Amino acid sequence: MNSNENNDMLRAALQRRAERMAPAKGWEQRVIAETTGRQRRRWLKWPAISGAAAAVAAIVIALLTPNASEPPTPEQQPVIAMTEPPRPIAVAQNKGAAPQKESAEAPEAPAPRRRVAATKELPEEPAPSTQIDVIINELEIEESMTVEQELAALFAMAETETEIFSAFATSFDDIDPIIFSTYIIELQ
Amino acid sequence: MLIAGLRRGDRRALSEALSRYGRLVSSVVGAMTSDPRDAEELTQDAFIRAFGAIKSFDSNESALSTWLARIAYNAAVDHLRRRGVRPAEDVSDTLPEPATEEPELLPELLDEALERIDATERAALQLVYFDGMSLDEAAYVLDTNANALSTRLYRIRTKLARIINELKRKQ
Repeated sequence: MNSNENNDMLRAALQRRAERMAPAKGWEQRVIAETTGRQRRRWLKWPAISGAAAAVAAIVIALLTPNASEPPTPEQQPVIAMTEPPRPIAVAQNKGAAPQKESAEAPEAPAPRRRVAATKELPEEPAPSTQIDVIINELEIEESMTVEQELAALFAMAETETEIFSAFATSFDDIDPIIFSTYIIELQ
Repeated sequence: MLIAGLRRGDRRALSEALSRYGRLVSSVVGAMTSDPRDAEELTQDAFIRAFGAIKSFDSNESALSTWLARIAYNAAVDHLRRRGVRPAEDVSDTLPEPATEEPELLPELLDEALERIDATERAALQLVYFDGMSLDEAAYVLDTNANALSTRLYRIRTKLARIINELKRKQ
């Protein structure tokens, strides 16, 4: 028996074995799904990190200034004016002889005028409670879609990293990326 | 084009690469395991590993096919190590030159003999005799050199012949 015959027999035996070990149909789909899923997760890492920081910052700001984004009710305006009378009058009553000098050196400088002025400049319509609400409203008005639908459509259309990235840039270029990243976290 | 598409993560490029090289990769990992489920899982893992590292592929160093085969081989070796199987070391360089006489292989016992040799030895045979790789290409996959691989292939064939003879005596 010559070497070529041996090679043929060996090749045939290896082929039989390879056929026994061949993966079942459909194995390619898992590879594609896993690979594209990893790419998306890699792209979503940066909003996850910055979004978490943004979420914490938003909560802290909301706790520290609970009424900052809400207009004062009509009942609140006179209360502010009545409970904090102009400072010079109070200084004049307490210090007597040198009211102007003491007034000028007062370490605290509450700004009742500024508060009143701010109250006057508030918009007539109540503002949304958070900036996220603003984004939701804008998206619904402009796209007639929820953010979830918008992103679902975005992911469905964008198949590559480049496409996802450019879609982020074009579709959401008018949105603060930190706020947008908060959405990504909520959707995950 | 295909490599550029893979680097972009293009779904069509992924699909084409799987179609074009799926048989090769499954052949390499299939040679190193005796369980079809393990072979399927290793094939998938090898491709996922390769696509994840596609940016490190250098077309000046190797063809995409041999690069994929090498990743598949390494994935299978890792799998064997996790299972506690220690792949045979390549000792071709330390052994004397084999005799020039070609051993006789008997087809009826060859299938069983292939199951009795080491997984890495089967992979070497698979790459050269089934996948049709050159000695240089197969040596790249197995992380050795062509001369050592040539010697090793002859020893594997001699080993197969010895196993077949033993099986014949037992019959």
